[in-house]
Amino acid sequence: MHLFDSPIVRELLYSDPLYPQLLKGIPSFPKTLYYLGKLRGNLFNKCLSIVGSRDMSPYATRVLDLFFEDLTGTDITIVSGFMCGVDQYAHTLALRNGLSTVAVLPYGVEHVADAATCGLRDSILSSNGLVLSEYAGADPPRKWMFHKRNRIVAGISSCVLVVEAGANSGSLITADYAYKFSRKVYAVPGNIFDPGSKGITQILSSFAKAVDCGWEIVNNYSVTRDRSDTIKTTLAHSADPVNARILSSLTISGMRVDELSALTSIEIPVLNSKLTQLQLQGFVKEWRGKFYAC
Amino acid sequence: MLVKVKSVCFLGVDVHEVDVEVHVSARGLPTFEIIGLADRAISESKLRLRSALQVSAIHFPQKKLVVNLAPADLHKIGSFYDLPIAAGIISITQDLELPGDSLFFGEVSLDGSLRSTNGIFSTVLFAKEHGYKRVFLPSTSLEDSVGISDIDIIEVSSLSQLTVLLKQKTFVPRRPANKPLFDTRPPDISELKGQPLLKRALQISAAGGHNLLMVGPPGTGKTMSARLFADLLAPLSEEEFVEVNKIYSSCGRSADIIYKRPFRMPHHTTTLSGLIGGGNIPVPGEITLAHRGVLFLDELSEFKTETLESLRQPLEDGYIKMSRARWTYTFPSKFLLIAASNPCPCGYYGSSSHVCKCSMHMVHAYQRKLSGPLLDRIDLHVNVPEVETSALDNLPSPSITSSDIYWDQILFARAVQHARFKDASFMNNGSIDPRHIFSYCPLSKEASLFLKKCSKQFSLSARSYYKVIKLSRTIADLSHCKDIHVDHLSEAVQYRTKLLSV
Repeated sequence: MHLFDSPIVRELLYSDPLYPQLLKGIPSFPKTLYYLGKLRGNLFNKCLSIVGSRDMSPYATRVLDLFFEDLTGTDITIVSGFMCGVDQYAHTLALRNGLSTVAVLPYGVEHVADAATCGLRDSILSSNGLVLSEYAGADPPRKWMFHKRNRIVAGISSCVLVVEAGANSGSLITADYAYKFSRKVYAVPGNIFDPGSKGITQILSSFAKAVDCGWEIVNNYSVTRDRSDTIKTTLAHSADPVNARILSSLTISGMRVDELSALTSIEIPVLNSKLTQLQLQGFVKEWRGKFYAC
Repeated sequence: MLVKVKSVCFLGVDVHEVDVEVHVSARGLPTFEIIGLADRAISESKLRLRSALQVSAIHFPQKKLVVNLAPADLHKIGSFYDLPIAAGIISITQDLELPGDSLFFGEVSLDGSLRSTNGIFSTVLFAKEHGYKRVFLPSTSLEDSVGISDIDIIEVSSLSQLTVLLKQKTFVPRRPANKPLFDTRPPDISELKGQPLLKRALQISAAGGHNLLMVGPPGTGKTMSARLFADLLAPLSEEEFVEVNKIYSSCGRSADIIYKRPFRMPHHTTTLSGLIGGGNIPVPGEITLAHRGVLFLDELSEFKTETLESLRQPLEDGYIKMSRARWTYTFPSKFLLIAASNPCPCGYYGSSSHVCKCSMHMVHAYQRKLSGPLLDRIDLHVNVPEVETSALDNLPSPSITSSDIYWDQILFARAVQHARFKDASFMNNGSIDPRHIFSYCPLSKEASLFLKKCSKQFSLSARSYYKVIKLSRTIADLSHCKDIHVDHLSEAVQYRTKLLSV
């Protein structure tokens, strides 16, 4: 909690010209929004909402990294829900790439969920972003607030991107709202064996459009900028043939040591040893007991 | 007329000499009193002995009879004082001298015959260590003093036979039986299907005495592998055999001799005192019963936090002290800790086949319970995932070491450690304390630099740093390497705690 430098809470009535226009079009839109930060006139003109699971996998991280390569240099405002995982990473990447970002909170605008996110909140506010909520004061989060917040996230933007979602993910609620509000819903295909991607498969089979880079989304907004082709330099495989075998066997959904051992016929002691060295060199990342090629 | 008969009493695992003083006085009403903080079983002796002596046609004195169990301020528990008291009475009434340098121990039935009780092993051991020549024991209990040499066992089958023996003044001793030989066939690790990572961890643990934690969904073989693990352990040495049997004998836990390392698997509802020991008159807990063996805690996160916390000190020290008003009891507790846990309340976090029903908050809270000082003392952490059903039927893949090589490596590593710690107080790599780490596990410059790099990359704590070194020493031993190489360190690093990587 910040005891000094408390930002001032301002009200934004729906009658105000600065109120996000698209949001006014949804049924039972919030009559008043409370926000922290400096609201400039064109902040809500081009909004893209990015949502996804809180238990973000390295895959989702890479996806967001990739998409933001195309979002850089535009004047699109990134809207998200400030939750851990995809939301916070989207906010972070927006700040890193010089894009404005708006965080829509599922609790009172003055409530501080935990000390760790204070830094992010302050960064957003100091870079001409906004932290807003339908709820004034410091009300802690309640169950119903999440749904209501999701409708704002869906209604405030013209497009919604769902990066990763499990079967019961809250991001699917947001996607549903977006569909109801006739917004464009994009989803990044995941791994059909991964339970963390079941939600994506659901919405892709109904109303969402599959997308594998940011370019298509950016095209929805009339932006003019130079797209510099960034060719990712692929890291050369190590000279060691054993390492090469390991790296080529690592799949995008990650592998456990046991599976990797069976696949490459490398014994556990050697495999464990090589994996540590590959991690040190940055070629392999470990997450939740599985190994991924970087 | 006063006679003193030697017997014992048990205080925790320790044995104390007791003087059974039998006094028959002509004056006073005929009474029979037993004093010296005797428990109920002992006071019932009075009725037992009265009937037993009458049935054996031995005269029971109709005088004032007082038996004092000295020292008078130690609690006496057990039914084995029957024989020493009876011997004292017989000595006085029949005017027979009792042999010196002898201990008496045994329960008497109403018909005068003798019954075996717990505590034989400890008693015979005590007698040997304290310079006694012989122990008078019930004839049915001969097997219980296996493996203790240089002491005579005099079998007593009944009180009338005792009278005959005392009249003859010659005693035909029996020597305790020798320890039977057991075959040291290595266990069949292929009983555990798949799970090469777990097998490797078990090998390292068994070879170097490193504590192990297995984390994984239900049904992945964690419990089965813990049982298998018990068979991987070295057989009990001579000293260990005595230590373990002394515990079980003194505390009345087993009438049989223990030949294999103890394997204790307390349920997670076990109370704190059940686990570490306790009570008004302290009895040993699971940790003492697991001394020189394995303590397996299944469903670790279901144990109460305070119960787990209580394990910290005994795990570190190798013993636990319990102070009471009259005595401080010390129970040994040098055990290997094997623990198993689910990764979250529903058990399926990180599973590729089942969906985890827990919220992130629940998972965090669950795993936070696992962390802490207890985990710090566990060197090996492995994730134990589900095995594909196809692997259950297939032949073992070529990457799994054959059972013979697996076992040979363990034996070699043990031999190396035996030589390494010849003059030290610890017996294996797992129990090296941090002060001596570098004298037993020196690192080359290259290895040291590598370890520093790993430390930075994986954010190793100081304790983890030492754990990695100890593990790599065992890994080097298993590979028949004299020095610790980078390869050994880099494998060891993979066994650190990797609960929730956020």
